[in-house]
Amino acid sequence: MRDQFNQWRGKAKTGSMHVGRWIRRHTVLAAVALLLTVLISPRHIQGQVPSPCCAILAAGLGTINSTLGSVIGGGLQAINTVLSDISNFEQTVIWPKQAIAQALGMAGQIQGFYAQIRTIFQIPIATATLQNPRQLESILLSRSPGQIPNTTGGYAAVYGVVPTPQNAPPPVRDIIDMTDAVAQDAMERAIAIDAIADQELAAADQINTNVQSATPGSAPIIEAQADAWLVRAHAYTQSALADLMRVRAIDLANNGAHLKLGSAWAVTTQQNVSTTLQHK
Amino acid sequence: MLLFTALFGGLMLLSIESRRRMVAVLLIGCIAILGVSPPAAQAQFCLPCVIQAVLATISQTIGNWLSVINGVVSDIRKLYEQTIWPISAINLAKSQIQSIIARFRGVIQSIMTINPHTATLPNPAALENIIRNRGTGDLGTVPQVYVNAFRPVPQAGAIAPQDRDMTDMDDALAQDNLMLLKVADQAQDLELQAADQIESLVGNPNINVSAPGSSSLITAAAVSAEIKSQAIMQKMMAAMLRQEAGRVAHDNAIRKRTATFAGQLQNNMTNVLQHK
Repeated sequence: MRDQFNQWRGKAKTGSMHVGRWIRRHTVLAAVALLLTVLISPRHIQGQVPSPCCAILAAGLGTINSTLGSVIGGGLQAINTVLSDISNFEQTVIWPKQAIAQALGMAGQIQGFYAQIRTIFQIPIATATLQNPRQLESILLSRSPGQIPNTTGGYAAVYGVVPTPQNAPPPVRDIIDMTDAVAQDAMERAIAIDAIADQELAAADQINTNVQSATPGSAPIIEAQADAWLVRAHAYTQSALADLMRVRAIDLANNGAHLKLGSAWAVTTQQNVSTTLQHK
Repeated sequence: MLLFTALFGGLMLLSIESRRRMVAVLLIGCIAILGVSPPAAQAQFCLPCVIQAVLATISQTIGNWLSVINGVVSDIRKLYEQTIWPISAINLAKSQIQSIIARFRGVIQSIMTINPHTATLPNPAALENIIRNRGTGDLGTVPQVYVNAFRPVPQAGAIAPQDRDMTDMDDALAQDNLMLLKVADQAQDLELQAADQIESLVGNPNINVSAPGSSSLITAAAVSAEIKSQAIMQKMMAAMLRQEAGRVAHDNAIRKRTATFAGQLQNNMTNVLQHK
């Protein structure tokens, strides 16, 4: 047994010497082989067992997740609740669709009322029977500004013209001419105001139609335009009132003029009578 | 690493006899060591610190902003519900409208039903009736009823031609206005109906019928009705203007004729005195 062991050791020693000798002879080749061994040998890698770093990361991510849920999620949910309340309030209290539909329906009803009014205002009302009055009446009721220049002729045909200087003294002719002028002016203005009123009715119809396709947000814009038209309409009404007041003023002036002229004639007559009596 | 260095060192010792071999082994060893040497280690960062910073950002910065936004939105809701459109104020306004309707509408309507009829004779009574019935259905009968009360224009030959024209014109202007007033009466009734409907709609207690948001539409429609109302007013003013102008023109025509007659009379008297 011991001999056998000594024999194996001898063989190993011999083998090692052979290997050593080979390496000594082929050192570079051995170095290259060692290099290849180094390069292809497996590297040290991290095992699958969780490291303390991963545990911290997992705990941190979990905390972030719960924080996102509680802080951001909770905050957003609260905001959503308030916004939903506002939306519900706006839809059920401020701008309910049914109420908007009712308001639009009312605009249509108002248009219906005024369509009736417009129709009845178009019923002809001319009643003059003779030629000259009929001609003047047709001009006055024409509602056409184009007819205004014809007023003077129609007026003169019915009410006559200013007397000639041979037929009336200058003060009387002045009064007559002024009175004719204001009467004719008033008739011409009446034609113009009728025409303006027709235009206003058409514009108001258009505005009302626009209201029927408006929304609560756009209605104030239309209302602003309607207000402007209303101001304009008031101005035209005032203009008509002014013309009426002019006619009344001239009428009053005529009454005063009659007194003035009458007293002047009375004085003249008195003087003439005195002169006649003195001659006798 | 140390093992490989030792091995290459051993190989270099073995090749100490040959300089070229030693250099070759040295080079190969260097390459091997470089190959197996670990990369330069990065300095370790503080992961808990980073996580803490993210948490702080979420809970403090974003959380605070969300709280601020929530506060603002809540304030808006409060403003809407308690200051601008409190339901109690909306209902109060509607009840006030209903109260005004109850207090005034009936009274005014009953006052307007007072329609004086004071003519005593048949023809004037008929005319009074027709000019005050607020209807347009009998508009065509006005001229005849008018003639019955005020008599027709005299036949030619029975009156001076200019007087005949003026009489016809006076009658025409008067009748035209009486007819226009019947039209205006009916228009006023329709306007009153429109006004009643507008008022009833805005005062309706049901929020689905009248709401603050829908009132702007009703207001716009009401303003357009106001324009039309003004236009009707202007038509009436124009009619009054025609009538006044006709009256002044009539007076002036008489004045013209008087002046002409006076001039003629003066001439005639002068002639008579001269003949004597």
